[in-house]
Amino acid sequence: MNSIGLSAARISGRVFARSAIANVATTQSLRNSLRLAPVRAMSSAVVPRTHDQIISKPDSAGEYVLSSLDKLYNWAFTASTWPMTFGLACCAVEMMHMAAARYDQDRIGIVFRATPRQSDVMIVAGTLTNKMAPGLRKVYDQMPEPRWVVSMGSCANGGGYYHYSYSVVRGCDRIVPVDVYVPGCPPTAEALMYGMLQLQKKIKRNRVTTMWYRKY
Amino acid sequence: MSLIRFIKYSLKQSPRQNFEIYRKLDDAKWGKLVGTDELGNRYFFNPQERYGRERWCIPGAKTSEMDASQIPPRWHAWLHRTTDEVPKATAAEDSAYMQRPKWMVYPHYQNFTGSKKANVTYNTVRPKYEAWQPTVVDRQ
Repeated sequence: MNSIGLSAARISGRVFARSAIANVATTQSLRNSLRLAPVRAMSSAVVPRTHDQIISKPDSAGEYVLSSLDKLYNWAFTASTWPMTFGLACCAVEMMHMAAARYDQDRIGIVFRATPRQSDVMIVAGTLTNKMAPGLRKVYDQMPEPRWVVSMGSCANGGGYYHYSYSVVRGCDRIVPVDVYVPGCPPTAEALMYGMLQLQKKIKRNRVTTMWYRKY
Repeated sequence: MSLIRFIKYSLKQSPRQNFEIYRKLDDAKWGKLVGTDELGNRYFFNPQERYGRERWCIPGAKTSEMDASQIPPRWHAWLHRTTDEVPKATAAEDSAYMQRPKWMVYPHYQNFTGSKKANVTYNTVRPKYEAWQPTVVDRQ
């Protein structure tokens, strides 16, 4: 059974899909035999286009119009990403350095805004404790959409030094969806700036009108 | 002062050169070309500039594709004044670089995060639990 399923998968992705639906046991044996292989190996038959490709190389006239609207929308957002400052620990000092003269976040349109109602990005800078977690979620919920989250430093990424502490959330992605993880303990202001530029790249491939048929 | 500097440096080069510099660096710059790396980035030096701005780089990539990680590590060290040693144009000219450790990559490549070449993590150890795989059994 195992060998039959595997050879079918090798011949064609379509055959694989049909056999998988028809036979649950085949899927199981396939799953077991391919457990250690990367997930991508399974989906090599149909290569979906990335968001970047859909935005920059539209296929049809309709897509061209919609992706142009998206580009305009993204351009407007890219140039003014106002972060909600969520400074929790020493990372916040590096975040302040990004705002200061040397790295000067203002030149790429980043201005700290002390209210969640008028900010686009939340920079979670520092250790997120259990006590602070509901507050973080509340602030995130108050931000208008579209909103992005940058997780800054080891503690916000995955608990870091305090991973085994009784009072620390093991990564702020347990509370809010994170777009960019900036590694470091703490990351330099330069690293955070690079993270923000990566976020700008991500915003540029954001699809809004080309995704009208679904919410996310 | 800044305007004077801007005009002074702009007049030293052709409009075409100036256009590229304005477009890529958002500033007027003029200096000695120190070297070029394997990715086509050009590195410049002008001691008359303010402290911290004497060394700079004009990226070889298009403006829309510029990225800070396109700078190779040794040029990065030079740019940040970690060292005064200028990396040579090719690896063959550079005896120190020929003795580099094996883990040093050449030619340098940029951070692929967000593209199709992005690093995807996968598990290499045996799973810690056996997943329950339910099967539908017909009623007797």
